Amino acid sequence: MTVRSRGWTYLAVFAACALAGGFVLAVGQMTIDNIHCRSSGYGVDDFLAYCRSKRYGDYEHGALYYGLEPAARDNIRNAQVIFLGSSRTQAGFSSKAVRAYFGKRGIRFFVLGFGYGDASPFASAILRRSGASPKILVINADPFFMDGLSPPAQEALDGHFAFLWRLGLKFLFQRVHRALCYSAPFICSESEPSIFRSAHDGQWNWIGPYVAEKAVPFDRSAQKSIAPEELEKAKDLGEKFLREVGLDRRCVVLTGAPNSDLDSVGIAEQLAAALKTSSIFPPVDGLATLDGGHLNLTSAERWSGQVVEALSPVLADCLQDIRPRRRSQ
Amino acid sequence: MRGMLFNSAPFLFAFLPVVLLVFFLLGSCDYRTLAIGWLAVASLAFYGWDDPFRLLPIIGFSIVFNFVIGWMILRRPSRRLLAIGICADLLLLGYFKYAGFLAEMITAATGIVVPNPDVALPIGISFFTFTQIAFLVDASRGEAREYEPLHYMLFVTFFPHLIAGPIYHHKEIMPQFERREIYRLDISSLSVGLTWFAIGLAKKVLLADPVAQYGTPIFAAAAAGNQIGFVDGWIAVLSFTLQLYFDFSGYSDMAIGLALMIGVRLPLNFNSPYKATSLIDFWRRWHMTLSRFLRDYLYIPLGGNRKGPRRRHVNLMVTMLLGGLWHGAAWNFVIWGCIHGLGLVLNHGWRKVAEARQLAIPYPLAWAITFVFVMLAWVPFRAANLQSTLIIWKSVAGMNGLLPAQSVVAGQLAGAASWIAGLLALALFAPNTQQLMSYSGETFDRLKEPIRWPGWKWAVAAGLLFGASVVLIIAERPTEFLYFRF
Repeated sequence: MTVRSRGWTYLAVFAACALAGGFVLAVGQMTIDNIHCRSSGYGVDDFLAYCRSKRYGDYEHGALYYGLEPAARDNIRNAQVIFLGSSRTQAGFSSKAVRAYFGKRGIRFFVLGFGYGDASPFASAILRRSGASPKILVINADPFFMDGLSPPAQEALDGHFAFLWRLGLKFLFQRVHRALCYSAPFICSESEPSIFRSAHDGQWNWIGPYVAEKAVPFDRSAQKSIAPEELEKAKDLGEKFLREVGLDRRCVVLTGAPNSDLDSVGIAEQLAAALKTSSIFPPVDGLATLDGGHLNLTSAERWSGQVVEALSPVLADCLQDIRPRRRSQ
Repeated sequence: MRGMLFNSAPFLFAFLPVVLLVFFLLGSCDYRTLAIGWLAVASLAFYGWDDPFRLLPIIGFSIVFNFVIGWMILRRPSRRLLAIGICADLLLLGYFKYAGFLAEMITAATGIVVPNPDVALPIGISFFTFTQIAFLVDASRGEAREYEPLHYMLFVTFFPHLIAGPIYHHKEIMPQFERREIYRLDISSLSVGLTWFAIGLAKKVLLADPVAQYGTPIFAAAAAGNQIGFVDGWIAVLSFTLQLYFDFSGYSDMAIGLALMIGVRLPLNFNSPYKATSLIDFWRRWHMTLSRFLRDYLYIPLGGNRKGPRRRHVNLMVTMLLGGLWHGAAWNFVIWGCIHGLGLVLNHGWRKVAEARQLAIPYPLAWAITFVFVMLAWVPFRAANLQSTLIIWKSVAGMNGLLPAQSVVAGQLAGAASWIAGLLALALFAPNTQQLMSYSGETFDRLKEPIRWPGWKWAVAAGLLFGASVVLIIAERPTEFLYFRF
């Protein structure tokens, strides 16, 4: 071996070991730091969307935006009905009732709400990036049409290297975490509150892994509405958003998941009237929340069941051009 | 303001590859002047990274001024010109570094309120000022010649050493740029340089930064006036002692490695200082280029040991006092310098007595006395002020009890003890970087030896260390080197 070729080989070995060392340390450190995340929610299609641990935090914003969960990306792209909104959307529409309703009719849907209060700017970005072409949008408009991005959404859209690196590590960590907790459950304390998300339909699995089921009664007296100028702004942003989406307004359904913090129904009603969209506000009594802001599991089942039942005429109108695909011979 | 950091992703993955690539491209086309110009301009970009409009005029003025004075001295040697040059350099350094301190002292001493100019210290000013003072002195002695402005600019700004040394002489660096081989990519040099750099990076990122988490909150608690217990006090002192060594020697290794990548040898800066068995020995191993500067340009011109023992002691005290002040304009550094000056005087005194009476302190005891002395002297070097220095000193003397009601590092004792024990073992028993790379660390001349093949084990080890360090750099914000503040 000549001095020159020995030098190049030295550099190649150095680089290979740097990659290996970096990879092992990065995944190892990620695993040690987040070993206490819940592992009970992993499934064939379910990923760890959030864990309140040292280095994990939010995963779903980046994962769905960059298509790190390929099944989720495909299902968003192919969904005929997409639900948009904040964590109230996730709490309200992550129910068996919704799955059963669409499952029975063979309609593909995806619940595409996000925590951290994210609204139309991030939804718009993710719809565009994933190439989604829904026939119906169901929007929890309280008011949803707003400026601004949450920190995880901002980071995802900025796409800096450090963020993408952490995102990649979170993706790898889940594989290691799942295998470790399956083969040696005694090392996983399952103590960090976590949220799992279905890559199949976007529903959250969080009652249990993240919060305990509770029944906090509604307090309508505490509900706030939004200022008139905010509402005006929401109408403008709504117009812009809907023009960009390009759907027939009859196929855009505004609703408001009931809660004690906001007069979601009132806000959504005003926006639906202004934007000339469809709207659904099922009269459901005796609902309760987990924390004042999000429907609890029992109430979500009842409320979302009513919403999707009321959605049937819109489905009939907007999905009529969809015919079952003929299998090629 | 902290300049571009060697331990940051932009430096590692953008600045360094581009600088090397363009340098070797120009060199391979035999555009040697352009290659030197490129290196100088890149070094200025490195320096002015955070605040170019403020930093570049300062260093630019300093370079032009010293080049002109040096040129005039070379044409006609003159003590007056030399004095003007040194005074102007010290004035510039004094204005940025000591004006606030001086104003506070005058106010405290006379009661007359002198407004504090409150100027931010330009990064690296102590280092580039000393480098240029050394050049002027060497030029007046006929030991350095430089008539090329571009070469002079590179001599001052060469990015591996610019911000925190090693402080070098013109005669040991610039002749290397006259060698043709420097401008051709030498894969052996690049490999050794990368290995040396990786070891330095690992010292900083994998050792110095993690151990700092134990000492920093304790020094902060002392600065806030809280009483510190015996255990916390020792954790603070030990962790800072180790942090400073791995941080600064790591930086020096990175600088040496970077220069080696283009075949340039920088002088060594550390030689396992905590293995020293006397304070005299310690100063031959710690920040060796600063010790050499202080010896050659301060201690010896003051008379050194040539004018009798009493004068030698005075010279030692003055040298160490000014050495302390060079680190920062604060009473803490004056005290640190005084302690070391006094320690050196005692050490020389003891050595004389021991030689006359044929006495010898057993090796472990000599080491322990030296190490504890150096460690306790680091307290004023690190503490925020005199009050917190006293708090820490009292705590390590056991004057605040074993553990206070609330330990600052409660629940982290095992972690702190493990880190300190591990790093102490490395500092005391492991070979240093130059020994690992098969060089003797005893003299500067050894770096003139041909570059040695580090062996495959180092390709693996340094690669792993580099990869692990980079992962931590990406995951966490890179931290500043401790010596950047000087």
